[in-house]
Amino acid sequence: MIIQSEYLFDADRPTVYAGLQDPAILAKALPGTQTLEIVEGTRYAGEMVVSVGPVTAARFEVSVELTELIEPESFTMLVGGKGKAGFVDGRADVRLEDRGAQCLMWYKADLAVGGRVASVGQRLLDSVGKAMSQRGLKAVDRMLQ
Amino acid sequence: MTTTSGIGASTLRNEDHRLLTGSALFVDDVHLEGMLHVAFVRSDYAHGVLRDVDLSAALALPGVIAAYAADDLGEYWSPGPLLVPPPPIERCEFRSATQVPLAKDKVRHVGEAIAMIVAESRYVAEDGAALVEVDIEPLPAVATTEGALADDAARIHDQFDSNQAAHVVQEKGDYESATADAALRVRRRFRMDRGASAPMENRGIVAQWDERCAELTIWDTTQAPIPIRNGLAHMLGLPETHVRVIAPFIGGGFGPKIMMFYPEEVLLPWAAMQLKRPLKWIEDRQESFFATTQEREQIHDAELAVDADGRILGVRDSFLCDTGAYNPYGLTIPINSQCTLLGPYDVPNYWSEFRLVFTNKPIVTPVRGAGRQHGVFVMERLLDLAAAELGIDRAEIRRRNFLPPDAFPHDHEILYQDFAPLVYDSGNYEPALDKALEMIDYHRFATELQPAYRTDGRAVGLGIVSYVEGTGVGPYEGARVTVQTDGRVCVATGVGTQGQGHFTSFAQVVAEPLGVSAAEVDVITGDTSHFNWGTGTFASRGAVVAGNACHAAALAVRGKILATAAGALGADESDLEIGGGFVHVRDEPDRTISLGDLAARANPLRGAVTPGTEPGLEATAYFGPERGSTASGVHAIVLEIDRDTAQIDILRYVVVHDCGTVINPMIVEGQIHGGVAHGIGNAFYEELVFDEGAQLMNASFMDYLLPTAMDVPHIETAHVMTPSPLNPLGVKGVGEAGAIPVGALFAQAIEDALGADAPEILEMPLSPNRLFELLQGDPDA
Repeated sequence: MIIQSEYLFDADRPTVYAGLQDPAILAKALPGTQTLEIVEGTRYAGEMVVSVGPVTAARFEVSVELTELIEPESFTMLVGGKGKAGFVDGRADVRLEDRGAQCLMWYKADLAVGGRVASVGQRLLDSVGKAMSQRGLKAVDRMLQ
Repeated sequence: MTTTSGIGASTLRNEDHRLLTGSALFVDDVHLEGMLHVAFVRSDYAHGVLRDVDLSAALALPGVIAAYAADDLGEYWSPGPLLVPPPPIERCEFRSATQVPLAKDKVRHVGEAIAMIVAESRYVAEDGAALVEVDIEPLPAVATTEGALADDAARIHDQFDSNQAAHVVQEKGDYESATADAALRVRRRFRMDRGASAPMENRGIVAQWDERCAELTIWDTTQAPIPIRNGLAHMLGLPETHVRVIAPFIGGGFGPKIMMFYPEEVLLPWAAMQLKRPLKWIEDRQESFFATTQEREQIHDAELAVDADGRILGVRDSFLCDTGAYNPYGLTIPINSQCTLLGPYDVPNYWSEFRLVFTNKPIVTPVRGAGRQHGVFVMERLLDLAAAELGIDRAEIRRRNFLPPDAFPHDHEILYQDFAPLVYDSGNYEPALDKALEMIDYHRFATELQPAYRTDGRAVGLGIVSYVEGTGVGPYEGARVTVQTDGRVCVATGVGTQGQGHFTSFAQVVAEPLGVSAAEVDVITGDTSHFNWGTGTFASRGAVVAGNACHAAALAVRGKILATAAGALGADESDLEIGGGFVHVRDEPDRTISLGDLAARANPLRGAVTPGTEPGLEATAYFGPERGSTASGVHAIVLEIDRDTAQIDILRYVVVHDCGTVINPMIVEGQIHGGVAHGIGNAFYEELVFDEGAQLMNASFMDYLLPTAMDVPHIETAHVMTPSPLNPLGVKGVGEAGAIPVGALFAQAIEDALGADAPEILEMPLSPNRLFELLQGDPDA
């Protein structure tokens, strides 16, 4: 599954970049996150609860690692999630650009999704993925204000 | 001697009362005291190393009685048998890897069973399954048939140097030299994708171990109760007589239920013996999409060479066939495709090669049609293309190439799936074509109706295709017929029943020689305690093989009736007549005795049974044809396409079918209707969609489109009867026929509807989405 979109933050680029390294703010970017803590450096681990169509309130153990960090321009998120309803595995490339006092975030996630989430939730996965990422970024935006 | 319920009568079905009043037994109706319930932990990954299975949390859950992973099975863990070894074809490379009861070391498809949880209820069992920690290290998945043989493809079975399971070449004549001067060669690539069998009743098993009697009873939705009994007895170290397998009423078989041994089938009986408690597992709908076998993925590169008159000089075909993660069913499907491609036609030269490949998808075994669809699709499409190029009418090109009625038996000089040469026993194809042309109003459609539709801006097209179906293969079936002292007749046979009407067709076969009505005949199928020799219900063979065994047993019983009656009535056997449940002396209606009284006389409580005779009016007989009988048919359709939505409306559907002697026309029509519905699904709705990780994306009826009552039209049927010379009843099979030619039929009719700007349809299934893409001129979308 590929989720590709962009989001315009009401904050400048260094603020956005720094915010996204903070687990408290990063957790907001991933809606459904119950906990997210630093394991080591830019590696995080926690728990998410997600609903996709008929798969409701599925609990996932998630790991997030930020790599290829080029401050304040871009980074890559390696994402892994595993739960009873299946798994998610993949990467998201994130690029930040100045838009005056604002910051445009461009992102492209390439995720392998398996198990029940994929086999019965597939029809809704794209739209849920897009909606979730936009909702998460909106929440981050609010936190950065 | 034909009675109103004998052979050829559309008598009402004996089983309908039980089915319609809800009193028939299905596996899920079995409730036993102390019964436990089973759920399975299945792989989320299509391919991976299975590093660890931790059952501890599941075992700690209150209500969970037991949990097993592969290592817990000890020596009982063993891959299943290779059910069908490859036929003795000269150029055949074959290697087999069969399914395992629970994955060990590796998982090879999504949904593969990893652990089994036994609990007080299914709810608790499912909760327990959710607590099992499975550690899988994902490996790259082989998600496509073509990708399986790529140099960098992940290897699914480490013991093999590639994912190729088989390579087979069959040849007749010399294609290259015979077609050197061909007026036309048509060459295309054809694709057919996967579908589910989607029975109304999923699989299910109940196993009960009686420790005191040392007897195991298994209720199983199998199409093969006797081989299941024999196999399980062997695996569990029990005498065959101490294992009883009951395949009761089953809500649709369609092929995947002839597959054996499914992991659940092996595990429940074993665990029932371990735990000394009855166990039940009923497959849920989502499991069925992964854990029940599937079919249909093939890619053909085929060429047809014809002379200027459209006469076939030869066919050359090379195809890939997906067998999924394991290949327990050997080469049955691709050989069916290879053989059925020849159709009702005279093909003097044929070169056909296939490669069977492993992929990380659910296992492929026969589903109604079992590869025959593919052959028919390729051949019929090639003929359509050739007809268009040469400006020959599409019905005419078929007629010109039909094997004539005096060509039988016709030897195609290649081997069929039953290991016998592909010899058509009989056939008469032109009358069926003529009948179909007349019923569909072929000439008027072309000259009047279609031009009028076009004037109105409507895209309406006609399709007409021919096919043959190899049916009724051996090895054998048997039956025991008994006249009871109340005059009723009991028939026991080994084949299981999944809705085919066996309780009626077999009754009709027996009723006629015994002079009773079909309603007076009680048929028992699929219970090894009643009959324990036979193979199963597959390859459209029930009526042919078991039907003729019933008939042979009934004739033997008739002999005993006449002998007993001759003694009772003091008459010569040649003067006796049987009818209405009585035997009487010809022209002397008062000298009569009922079958029930004869049965009592044949089993006396005192006196002596004459030496050399047997007690009772009972006989057991077996029938095994030397090879299968070839059924055939013509389907015709008129359909309309909505150019904006790519939806299709079937305006007319005609089937002219030849299955030899028709035992019960109503049942035959029912089989054809069901087959056509299945075929419409395969042609235009049903497709299992996998992503690049071999994850199944539409494992529910929300996303997997089955044709509904709205999509299946009224079907007009007619019969041509060319009796098979290979069995006394002259019957041929019909169970799969309806499903076989529908993809080719849709393709031709859609092209005809769209006229000059039609895209070439070289794939099945289509779907409204896919047809829309093709209409947009986007064949690779």
